[in-house]
Amino acid sequence: MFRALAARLLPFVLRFSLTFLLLFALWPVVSPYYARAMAVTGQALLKTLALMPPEGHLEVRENRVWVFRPVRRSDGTQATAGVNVLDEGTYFNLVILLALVAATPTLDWKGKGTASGLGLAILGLLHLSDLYVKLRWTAIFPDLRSSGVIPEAASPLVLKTYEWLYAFYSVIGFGLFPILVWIGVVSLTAHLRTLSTGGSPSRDLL
Amino acid sequence: MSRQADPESKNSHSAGKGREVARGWLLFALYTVGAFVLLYGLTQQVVTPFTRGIALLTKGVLTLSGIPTQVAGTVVTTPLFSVAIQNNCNAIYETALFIAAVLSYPATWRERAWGALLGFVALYLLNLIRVLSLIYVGSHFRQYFDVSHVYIWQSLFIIFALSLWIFWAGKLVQSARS
Repeated sequence: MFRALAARLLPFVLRFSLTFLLLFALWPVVSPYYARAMAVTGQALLKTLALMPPEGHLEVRENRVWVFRPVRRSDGTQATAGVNVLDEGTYFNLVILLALVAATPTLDWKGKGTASGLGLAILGLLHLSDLYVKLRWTAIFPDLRSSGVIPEAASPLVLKTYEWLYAFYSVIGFGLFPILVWIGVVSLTAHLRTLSTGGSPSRDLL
Repeated sequence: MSRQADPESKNSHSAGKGREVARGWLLFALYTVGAFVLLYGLTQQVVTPFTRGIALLTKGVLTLSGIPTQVAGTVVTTPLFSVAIQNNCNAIYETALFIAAVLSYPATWRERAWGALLGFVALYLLNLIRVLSLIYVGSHFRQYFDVSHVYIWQSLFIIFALSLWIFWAGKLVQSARS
């Protein structure tokens, strides 16, 4: 399956490294726009799906997406709390995805464009799901009490689920998602190409 | 009509390739989730002691290099810098990702065992280099520590693991078959 890529491993790594460096240099310019896009899309999506309290909103500060929402303090008063729910270190993996697609030897430029567009859309949705998991977990996190905030009520099962989801996104999502998305979109693009042109199938998808 | 010129044959060949990739993709995702569940469930029993081992090994290397070093749990302290090795910065999850990829690839169990061993050793050594280099960067170029830690090393780890896996899948498994 990966014979074509293995035969061109060194050029693949070199192309990946060059694209990565180029995108890394552009990152300070791109990052604020991406954070803003995540905040706007996330807010629209979460409000539409009624997954965010009406008084809450998402906001970008220093390239991080924050949620600001009302909380109840232990002394009975109300306050507004801001929590970082998506930071640059999390969504930087889109650079890895784009560099992987750009370095893929079996795709032409059009194919790379299609795969990048598809990949960015899917990875963007994964970032939004990451944002939502953090938004929920930081609302029900039991240790909030130690900082004088009463966490939202949640059953033990819900607490456990969000704790594990939060850990999954935090420890493995950064590396796993771009690789999964890359294999998926490159294979899909190559497969669609073959079907639409009616031409001979590529010797290898990657 | 030759087999190569038959469009139906081409399409079924392509569909077969697609199914093979989809199967591998799904297995990779499932094995990764399984590995995560196993490791996260055994954080105290496996992950934390593993991280302490890296901290101690780092101390050993630095001490041998003539740098007085202290270790407390997973925190490594030198005269110029102190670094806490977190449970998600010990390469154990990256290694799990690599092994999940090895297991999801069609190979013999012997080839998979060699692949897993190769990945474990290589990623362990790379992680040691990561920790040592981050201590160096933190000691002498502190303003670049976050960039090195969050952006450079995380990305380097992924491309290294991916390249190693491609090498194993494309060269070692294939050459063993041929």
